[in-house]
Amino acid sequence: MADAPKSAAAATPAAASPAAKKFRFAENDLNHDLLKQKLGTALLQLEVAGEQTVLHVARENVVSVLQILHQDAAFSFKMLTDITAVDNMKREDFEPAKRFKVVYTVYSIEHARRVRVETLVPEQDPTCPSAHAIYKGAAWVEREVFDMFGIRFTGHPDLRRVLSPDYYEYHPLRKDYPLTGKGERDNFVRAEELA
Amino acid sequence: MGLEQLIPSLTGDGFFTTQVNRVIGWARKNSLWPYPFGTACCAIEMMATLNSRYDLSRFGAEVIRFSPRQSDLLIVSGRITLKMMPVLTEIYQQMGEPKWVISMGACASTGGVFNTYPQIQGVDQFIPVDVYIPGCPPRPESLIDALIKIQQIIDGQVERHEFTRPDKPSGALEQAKKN
Repeated sequence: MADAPKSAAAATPAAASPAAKKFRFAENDLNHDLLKQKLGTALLQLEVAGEQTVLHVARENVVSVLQILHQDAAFSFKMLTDITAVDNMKREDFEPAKRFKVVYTVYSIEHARRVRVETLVPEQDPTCPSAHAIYKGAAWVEREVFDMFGIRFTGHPDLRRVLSPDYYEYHPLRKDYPLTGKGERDNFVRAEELA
Repeated sequence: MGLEQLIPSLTGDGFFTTQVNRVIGWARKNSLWPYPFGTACCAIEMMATLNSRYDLSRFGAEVIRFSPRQSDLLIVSGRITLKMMPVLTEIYQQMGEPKWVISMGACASTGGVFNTYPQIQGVDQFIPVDVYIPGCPPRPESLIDALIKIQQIIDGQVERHEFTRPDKPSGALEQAKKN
């Protein structure tokens, strides 16, 4: 304990120096040229949002892109962090063909890198191919996206609601669904009426 | 009661007169078996109340029963959602009479800050509640006070309030139509 203040004093200049502060942003050192080369025409647009690489792909190419990201040794994105969705309905530049956006976040444990894959889903046909064949963990998160947004994942083994009750008719995170609901929470039978 | 004057043999050591309800109530109020319907942070405070620091067993209510058939006091502590309310109603129905209900905390009593589609805006819209505890979450002392109030209701010191509710529970239906 006697030398504890001394070591703390020694550590302070090192922490303050710019070299020590600089740390590696995992998303930054992705080889974008290699990504473009491997994904080819499936990649519509490559964007760097914040510190993260975002791959915009068409809906029909999502599974093949995820397959390459998962299998290729240069990327090795073996872990599915999350699948979520965005409802663009209240945006100013809204058009029905771009109603929903499904967002995949995948992580490479081997290279400590992260990448985001985004695809647009139209309002008329809210379906998206399931990533369950590549990532087994996609099963439940896709159920959640289905529950909240009503996007049906084709090829999903068991697409049921995961949070809302089975009899529920709506998809609550859609922007046209009111915050306080459509009165379903007030429609239960009172205890004494059942007795 | 004046009965002692009418029947002389009832007087003397070892005899006293009372009402049957008072005797049964005395037994009931000191051996409440709560059903802990804990769904959120209020349940943590409920557990703290049961632990030795606050020690709910001082009031005879330490026998927590996880079967509604064996319990006579339902403590609803926490948020009740759309999916949970039918379960709560069924558990309430499965409890044998006589039974009492404590609505613990802001969420169980009014919905709290969660004025959203899945959140029940007060369990009293669907099951009768005897004692409400305000707080987010309430302190263990509040739960002990609620238990004492339940004991007073059982004992007949406090009248059990007539359960009345508005026709439309929370107006969410009208609000939704406006939206």
